[in-house]
Amino acid sequence: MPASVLKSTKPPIPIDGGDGSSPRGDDFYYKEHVKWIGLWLFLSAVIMLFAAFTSAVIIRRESGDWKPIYFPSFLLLNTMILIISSFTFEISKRKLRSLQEHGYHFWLGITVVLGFAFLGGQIYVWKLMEGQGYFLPTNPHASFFYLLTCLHGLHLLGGILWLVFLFFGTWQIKNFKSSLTSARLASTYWHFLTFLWIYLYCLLRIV
Amino acid sequence: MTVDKQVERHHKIPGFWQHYIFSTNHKVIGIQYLITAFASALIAAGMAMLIRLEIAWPEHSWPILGTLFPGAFPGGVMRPEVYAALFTMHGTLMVFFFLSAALVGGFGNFLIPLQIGADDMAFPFLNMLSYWVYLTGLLVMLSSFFFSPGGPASAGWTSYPPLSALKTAIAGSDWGQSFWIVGMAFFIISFTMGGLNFVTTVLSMRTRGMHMMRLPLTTWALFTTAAVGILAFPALTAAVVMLFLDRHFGTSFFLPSGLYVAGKLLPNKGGSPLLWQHLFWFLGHPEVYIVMLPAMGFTSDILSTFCRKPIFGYPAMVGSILAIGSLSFIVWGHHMFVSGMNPYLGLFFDITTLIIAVPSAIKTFNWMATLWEAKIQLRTPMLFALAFVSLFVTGGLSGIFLAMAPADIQLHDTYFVISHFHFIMAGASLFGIFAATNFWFPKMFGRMMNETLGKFHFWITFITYYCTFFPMMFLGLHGEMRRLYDPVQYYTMFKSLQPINVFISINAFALGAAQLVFVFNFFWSMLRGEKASANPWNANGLEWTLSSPLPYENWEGNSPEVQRWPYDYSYPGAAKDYLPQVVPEQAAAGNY
Amino acid sequence: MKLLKRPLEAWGMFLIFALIVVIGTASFFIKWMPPLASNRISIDQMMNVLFIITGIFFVLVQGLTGYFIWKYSDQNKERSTYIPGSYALEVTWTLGTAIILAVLGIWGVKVWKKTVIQAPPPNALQVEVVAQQFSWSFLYPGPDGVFGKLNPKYISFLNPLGIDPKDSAGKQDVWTKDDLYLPVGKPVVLRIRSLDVVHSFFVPAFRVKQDAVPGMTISTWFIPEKKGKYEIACSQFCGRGHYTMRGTCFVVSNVRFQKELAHLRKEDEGE
Repeated sequence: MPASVLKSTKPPIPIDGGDGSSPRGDDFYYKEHVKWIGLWLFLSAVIMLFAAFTSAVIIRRESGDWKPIYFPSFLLLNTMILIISSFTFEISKRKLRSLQEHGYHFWLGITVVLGFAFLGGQIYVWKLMEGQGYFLPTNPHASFFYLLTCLHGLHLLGGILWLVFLFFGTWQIKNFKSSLTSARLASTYWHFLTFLWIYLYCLLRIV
Repeated sequence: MTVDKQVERHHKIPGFWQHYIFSTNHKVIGIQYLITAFASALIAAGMAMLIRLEIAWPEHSWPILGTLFPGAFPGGVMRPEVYAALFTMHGTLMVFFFLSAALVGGFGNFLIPLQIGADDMAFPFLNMLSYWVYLTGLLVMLSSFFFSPGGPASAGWTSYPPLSALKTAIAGSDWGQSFWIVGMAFFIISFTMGGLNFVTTVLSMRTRGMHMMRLPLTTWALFTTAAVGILAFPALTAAVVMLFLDRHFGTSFFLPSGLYVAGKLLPNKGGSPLLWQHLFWFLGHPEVYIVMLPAMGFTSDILSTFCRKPIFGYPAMVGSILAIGSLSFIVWGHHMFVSGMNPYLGLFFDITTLIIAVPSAIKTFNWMATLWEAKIQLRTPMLFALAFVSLFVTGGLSGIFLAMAPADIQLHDTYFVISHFHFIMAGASLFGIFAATNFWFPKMFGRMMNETLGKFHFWITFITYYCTFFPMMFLGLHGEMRRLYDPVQYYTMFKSLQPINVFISINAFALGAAQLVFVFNFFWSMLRGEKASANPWNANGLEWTLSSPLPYENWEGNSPEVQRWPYDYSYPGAAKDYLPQVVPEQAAAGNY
Repeated sequence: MKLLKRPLEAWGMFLIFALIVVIGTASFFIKWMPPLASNRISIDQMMNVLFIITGIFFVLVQGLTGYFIWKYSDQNKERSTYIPGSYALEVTWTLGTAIILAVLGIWGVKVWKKTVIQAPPPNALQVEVVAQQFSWSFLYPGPDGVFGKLNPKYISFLNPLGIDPKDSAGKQDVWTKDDLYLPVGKPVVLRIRSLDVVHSFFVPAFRVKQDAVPGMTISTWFIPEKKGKYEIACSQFCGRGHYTMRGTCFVVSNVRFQKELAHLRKEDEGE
């Protein structure tokens, strides 16, 4: 059974039912298809949101009196934590695919912990920044830093809640395919947030 | 239908709360959206009446108003702050909470699953959430009239900072602007949830045989609109977040150095007021098409149905919907020709705006060609659709002036602009909504809207609409600016134009009063109207193959197989002058 | 008799569309724009051509739509003709509109370059325009032709523009409130700025409009060509007293202009 299941989860999401219409009905692939489209549309809205902020940062930076601030090096460590969490999520997905329930839960738990660690780290960075005298209104660069880290943090908090939901979701062999889909969807979101953070880090760091 | 199935269906219909209030059913949500949007339109229209009252008879004392609203009309005379709050809320409510909500939330929810042969939306729960978040936003927006110190937001629906960011700049920026920001945030979230649902539904839930190129133009337009909304609204989200921080946390995203307001030098440093304008119009212009495109779709379908003739140039119509949708992202700067942005950017937006006129012209010509050699039935929806074409042409041609940057020097921020967008964006969409409501009413409530009342409403609305908004072009050419509390007390150059303002206001009151006929007709027909058959207009779309009113779960899983496009009216050799989308080729001559 | 076999609605629509065409077109033969009093005639010329082109389309499209509604609501006809489209027709009108719009676009670009982008002549008079809630102030440089620095921190009752008292260039600058004096026939550069919110400097008769944005100094230039008194409007909503924010522009002879400036300077020193 596992081998055939693995095979059946491999094929790409069907785009089309073969006769020009979309796949539909209570078919598994159809449901997966819908979820993927929904997720990517949501991500495109998030991308547009941060694109708008990027243009704001660039316009603001060009206007003469931009004074760059320097972030504590702890931020780099924090970035590493988030990147590692993406890897642990991949491991947990791999465990799921090879049907190792305990490994899946273990690595998923690690990911959640790392996610919280990153959020805690961000708050710690804020404290460090405030210690250096950079508050939200101090300086445009600082305003953007607080604003963008906060928004990214909120999106990440949503991601963590999703992971917690996955963690406590019942895992059964008969729901294997839908568990894997949920894990894939969540991991796409999670990796997206990791890339988004790396992008924001570069945007805020390169001055 | 077997007895078993009927029993089964009966069991599927949930109780009152889940059916009418917290419903996940796309039809119920669509009607909820539509009625809520109509309510906010009535409120906003009432505001417009007060605005016109003030402009035509500036600072005149109306004792009745003084008694009714002693705070806003001390001694019966409107306060200037109240005037500012009224035009701000009129714009906000009309553009977002009426037009967008009725067209996309209302008809989008109601029609998309029906026209593609699906039983519901892809994410029904998200859909329900979308409505409740929208309603919350509307209530927050309206509550600023009662609970906000300083009154509702008053910096115009565009909310340009610093006016909107500084509490001392205008009374409405005290707390009203924060209510506005929160209300808009709810609206954006609701719209994004709806948009996600619509795009996903159209992409993944079409029934067998329903190719993209067999979709009715209504669905095409709603689909494009939803996609445009998902991509454009985040810019406003970003902008309102920054405005909120500027207002409450002392940041300087939009506030430059050296601001001297109300006798005080402010500590802000180096923000850019133009940044807001760019972000706002990056949403604001696509928003115009968000309300335009669905109305264009309705018009196409309704014209075709009542011409008993296929829509002319279907591929070109689809292409121009997509072209308008995508070009709408690169024209926002035409709202900013005289804003002080780099004049070379003005050249770019000048050209892109003229380019977007091409697909609009294609649509107009195609509608006209649809009339050609037809056998037209002038029912109420058709009359509104034809008036839509007329308003669209008038508004579109005045838009050519505003697209040209040099003409905009004279016309920007004058009544010419007001006239232009009340024709093309507000008026045409409004007529689209009236056409669609009359057209799909039997599907919503199982009864026909009263034809006599509908036509009476149409004639008054069409005539007074032109009489209200067309003369505004003359005011604008002369240079009269928008948003003037009293156009004649200080400016002598507008004194000679005041009779035109009086004429406009009288027509505006007639226009406003005529809408009460529609409201009456809507509710009276809902309860007492003539019972509708399944397909009262002999139309081709999938929604007309179901009974009126609709079954709770549309096709209950047995969705039909689509055999043709939805525009086979007067098909040569067919027995009847319409061929529903489900009729196979070989059966065309026999059964129909 | 066949003619009358149309529903009343068809006649009604025909009538309304005819009225739209006739009244709509006729009303644009009235000169609504105030007579031009500056050198920006290219804007007027462009507008006139736009009126003609859009007018033709207006008559054509509204007229034909009205006519079609009337003509094709003939109920004697058995059935509509099945015409899903016509490649030739669609290409024709797409290309047709595209060409007309391209020509208009090129023209618009030219006029925009001429009025907005082109640099002012070097001998132009410089005037600083400062907008604030709800008044206009106009600052003229002294005989040295250089403006003193403005800094909002020096704003006071006697110095509402915040002229920097330490800057020697500003010593002979003079300012007026709400009244702008301009010499006829001489190019003038307005350097527009704002102290508080966004305003917009608008003189309809000059075809001049430019937003005043705080934190920016935006220049626009023109040549006033007719003597007279013109109203300056604020065309961007700027707060409670937006409707009161009116200035007056006096276009006077050069001699009279110099006299006014000298008079202002004297007053200034008198203080």
